[in-house]
Amino acid sequence: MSSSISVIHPNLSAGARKTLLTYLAISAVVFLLMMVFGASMRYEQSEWLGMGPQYFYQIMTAHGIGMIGIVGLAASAVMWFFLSRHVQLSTPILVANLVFFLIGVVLILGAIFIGGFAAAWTFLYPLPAMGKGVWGNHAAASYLVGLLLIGVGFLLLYLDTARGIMKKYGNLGKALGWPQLFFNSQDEAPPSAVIASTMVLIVNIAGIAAGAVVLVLSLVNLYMPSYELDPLLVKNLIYFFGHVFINAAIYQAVIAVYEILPLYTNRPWKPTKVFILSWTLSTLMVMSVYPHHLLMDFAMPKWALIMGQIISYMSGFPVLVVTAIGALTLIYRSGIKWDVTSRLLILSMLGWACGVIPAIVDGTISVNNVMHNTLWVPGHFHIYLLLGLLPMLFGFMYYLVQSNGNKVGAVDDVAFWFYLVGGMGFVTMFLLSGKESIPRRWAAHLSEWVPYDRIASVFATLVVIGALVFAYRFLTRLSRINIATS
Amino acid sequence: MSRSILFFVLFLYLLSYSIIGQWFEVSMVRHVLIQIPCLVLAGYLFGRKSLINNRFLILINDKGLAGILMCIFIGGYWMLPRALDAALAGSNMALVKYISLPFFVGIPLAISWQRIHPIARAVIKIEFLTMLFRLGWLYLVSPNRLCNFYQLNEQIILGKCFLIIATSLSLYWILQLFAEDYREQETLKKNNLYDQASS
Amino acid sequence: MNRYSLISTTLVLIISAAVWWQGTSGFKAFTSEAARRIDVLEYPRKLSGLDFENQTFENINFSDYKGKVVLLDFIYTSCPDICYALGFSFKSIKAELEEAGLQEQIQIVNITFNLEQDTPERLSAYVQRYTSDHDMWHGLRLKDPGQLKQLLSDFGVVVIPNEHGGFDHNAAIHILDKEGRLVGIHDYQSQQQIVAQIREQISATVL
Ligand code: HEM
Ligand SMILES: [Cu+2]
Repeated sequence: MSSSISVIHPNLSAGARKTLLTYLAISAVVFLLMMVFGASMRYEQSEWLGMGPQYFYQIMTAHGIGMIGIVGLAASAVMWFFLSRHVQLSTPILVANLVFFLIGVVLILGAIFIGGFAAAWTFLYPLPAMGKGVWGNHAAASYLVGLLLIGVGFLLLYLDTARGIMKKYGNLGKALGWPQLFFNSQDEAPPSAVIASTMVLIVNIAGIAAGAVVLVLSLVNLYMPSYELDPLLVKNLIYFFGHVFINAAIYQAVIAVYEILPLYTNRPWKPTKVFILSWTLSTLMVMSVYPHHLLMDFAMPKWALIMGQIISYMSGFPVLVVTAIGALTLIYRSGIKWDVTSRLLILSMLGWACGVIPAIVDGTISVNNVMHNTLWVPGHFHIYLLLGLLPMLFGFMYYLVQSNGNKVGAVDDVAFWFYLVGGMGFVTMFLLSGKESIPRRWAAHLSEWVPYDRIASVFATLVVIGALVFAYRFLTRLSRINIATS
Repeated sequence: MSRSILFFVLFLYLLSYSIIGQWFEVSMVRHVLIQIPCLVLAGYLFGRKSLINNRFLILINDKGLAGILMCIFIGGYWMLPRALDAALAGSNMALVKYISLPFFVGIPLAISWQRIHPIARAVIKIEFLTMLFRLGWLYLVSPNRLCNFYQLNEQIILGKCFLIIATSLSLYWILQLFAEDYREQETLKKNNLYDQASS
Repeated sequence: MNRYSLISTTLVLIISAAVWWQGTSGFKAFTSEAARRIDVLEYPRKLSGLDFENQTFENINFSDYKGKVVLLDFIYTSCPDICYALGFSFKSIKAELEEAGLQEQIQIVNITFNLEQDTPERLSAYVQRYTSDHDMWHGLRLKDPGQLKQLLSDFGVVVIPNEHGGFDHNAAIHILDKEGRLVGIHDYQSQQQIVAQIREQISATVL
C-alpha cells in the first residue's frame, strides 16, 4: 500500500490549474457563507435572532440560489479536472464561465440585499412580479438576468465539453459507451469520467435551454403583465431546469469518487456493461420523461404530476445503485486507507443513497398529501446535498490538499466527525419536523415547534464548525497543492 | 450546376418579390414562415455559391464576426411585429425588406457560418431554438394582436407553428449528435477549400 | 483580428444599434400599436378637417368640439366583441366623470369605418345602447367615403376584413385635446390612466 495518494494530471496547463483552484477557493468560501445563512434561518426559527420575516426570506432566497449555484460551479471544476485528462478542453471557456458566474452573482446579490427580492430561489410565477412594495420589478429583473447570465456561462462550458468529447469519441452515443453496450464492440469503453460528463452535458444543456426560455418569458411578464403565462407550465420548466441542474451537480461530483476511491483501495474501477447501461438509462429517463409532459400536457392531470415526480426522483436511481454497489465492492476487504478524503467520499455514497429513501416516501401519493410542503422536503434534499454532494466536493478538495505527500492534522479528523454528526442530526430534525407537519418556508414557528428548531440549530452549528475547518484548510494550503504531470 | 443554383436563387427572390409576394403577405404565417425565409435563403445560396471565397469579404470579415453580427441584428429586427407592419403599410419599408433580408441576412450568414468559432455556432443554434420557443409561447398568450395587419387567430397559428418547428428542429439536432461522427468531420474540414483560403 | 475587420464590426454594431433604436422608438415599442401610442404622447398630432354626419343627421367637423376634451374610438355597429368592450368602458368613464361634475367638458365620439352599412339610423341605435344623451355622445360617419383612408391614416388605425364578414381593428380609446389634437391612445381596460389624462387635459389652459 503506497504511503501517499498521487494526484496526477498529465496535461493540465498552468492557466487551467489556476482557474480550477480559483473555482474551488470561491466555492469553499461560499459554502461556508451559505451554511451560516442556513444556520441563521434555524436560529431565527429558534427565536434566538429576531431578524424578522423580511430578512428571513431574503436569506432563504440567497441560501437556496447560492447553494445551487455554487455546487454547480464546484462540481463543474471536478468534472473539468478529470475530463481534461482524456479530452482537450478550452481554458478560456473555463475562465469565461467563471466571469459570467461572478457577474450573475453580483446581480443576484444586489437584487436580494439591495432590492429586497425574496421570492425564493425558484422565482415561481407570478411571485417575482408581486413584490408589493417589498421589492420592485427592477430587483426581480436583476435576479432573473443574473440567473440568465450564469446559465449562459455554464452553457458555454458544457458546449465546450461536448465539442471536446465528440472530437475524441465521435459522437455522444459513442461517448456514452453504446458500441460496447449494444453492439458488443471489443474496443475499450470510454473512461467513467467521459461517460458521466456526456450524461451531464446532455441533460444540462437541455435544462439550461428550458431555463433560458422561462427566464425570458418571466422577464417579459414583469414589464408587460398583460402577457399572462400558464403558471403550471412555468413551474414545470423551472423545476425541470432546477432539478436537472442540481442533480447534474451530483453526477459531476461523483466522478471524484470514481477516480479517487480506486487510489485508496488499489483496485481499478473500470466501466462495466451494467455501469454504462445505468448511465444511459438515467440520461434517457431525464431526457425522455420530463420534456414529454412539459410539452404535451399543457394542463396536467394529477396522475401525470405524480408520475413525473416519482420518475424524476427515480431518474438518478440506476446511477446511484451502480455507483453505491461499485463503491462497496471496491472497498470490501481492500484494506482501504482511511483519511479525511476517503471518509468524506464514503460518507457521500451513504448520504446520496439515504437521500433517495425520503424522496420515494414523499413521492408516494398518500404520503405526499400530508408531507409535501413540510420540512420533510428540505429534509430529503439536504440529506443528499449536505451529506452526499458536499462531501464529494470537500473530498475532492482534500484530495488536492493531501496531494503527493502533503499531510493534514488531527483537527481535520475531528472536523469530519463534527460535520458527520452535525449533518445527520440536522437532517434528522428536518425529517422529524416534517413528521410533525411543521411547514417549510415559515420564518416564525409556533412555540411547540421551537424545541425542534433549537436542537436543529445546535446540529447546524456543528456542521458549520466542521465546514469552517475544511474551508480553512483548503484556502491556507492552496499554494502547496502539488499536481504531478506523471 | 452553378448556373442552376443561380437560377434557383433568382427564382426564390422573384417568387417573393413580385405579385406573388402579395399572396405571401396577406397571411401572417406565409409571410413569416415562407416569404422571409425564402428571401434569406436566396441570399444564402447566392453567398455560398459566389461570395464565399471573395478575398475582400474574407479580409473585412475575420472569424466571421462582422457578418454573423449583421445577420443576427438585422434578422432579429425582422422578427419584430412592428417591422412586419411597417413593410405592409405601403411605405418604402417593403423595398427595404426585399433588399435587407437577402443582402444583410442571407449573404452574411453564408460567408460567416463556417468561419465562426464552433462554440459560437452551437450557442447561436441553441439561442435560435429558445427564441422560437419564446416567440411561440408569447404569440399564444398575447392578449392583443401584435400586428395591426393580421388577425388574432393567425397569430395563434403562427405561434403553434413556431413551437412545432422548434421541437422538430431540436429533435433533429439532437439525433445528429448521436448519429454523425464528428471525428471524421474534423479531419475532413482540414481539406476544405475555404479553410485553405483563410489561412 | 485585422484592422479592416475591426472597422467593419464596429460599423455593423453602430448601424444595428441605429436600426433597432429607430425601429423600436428607443427600445420602448415593439409593435406598431405601441409605437403610435408613444408617438402621440410625444408629438400631439393635428388631424385633417374632414366632414362627418352624426346620428341625428347633423353635419359635424372636429372643430365643432373645440374647447372640449374628446374621447374617441373606431367602430362598426355590427361588431360582436371589441366594440362592446369599448362601449362599456366609455360608459363607465362617463359615469366617473359625471360624478366629478365634468360632463360639460367632454365629448364622446364613435366613428364608424363601415360606411356601406352604418347609416345614421344604425349609429343612433348604437349610441342608444349606452346612453340616451345624444348631444354628449356622437356616432359619426364620413360624408365622403373617399376620405376614409385619410381618416384612418391620420390616427394610425388599421382595419382588416375578417372571414366572418366583420373587421379586425385596433381596440383603443383616443383622446383629443381642447384644440382637437390627438394627444393620447390607451387600452380600454386602463380606465385610471384615461381619466387621469382627461382631467389633465380639462385643466390645461387653451392658448
Ligand atoms: C449547514 C448546512 C445547512 C443548513 C444549516 C441549511 C439550512 C436550511 C434551512 C433552515 C432552510 C429553510 C427550511 C425552511 O423551509 O424553513 C434551507 C433551505 C434550503 N437549503 Fe439548506 N442548509 C444547509 C445546507 C444546504 C446545502 C449544502 C444545500 C445545497 C447544496 C442547501 C440547499 C437548500 C435549498 C435549495 C433550500 C430551499 C430554499 C427554499 O425553500 O426556497 N442547503 N436550508
Ligand atoms: Cu369591433
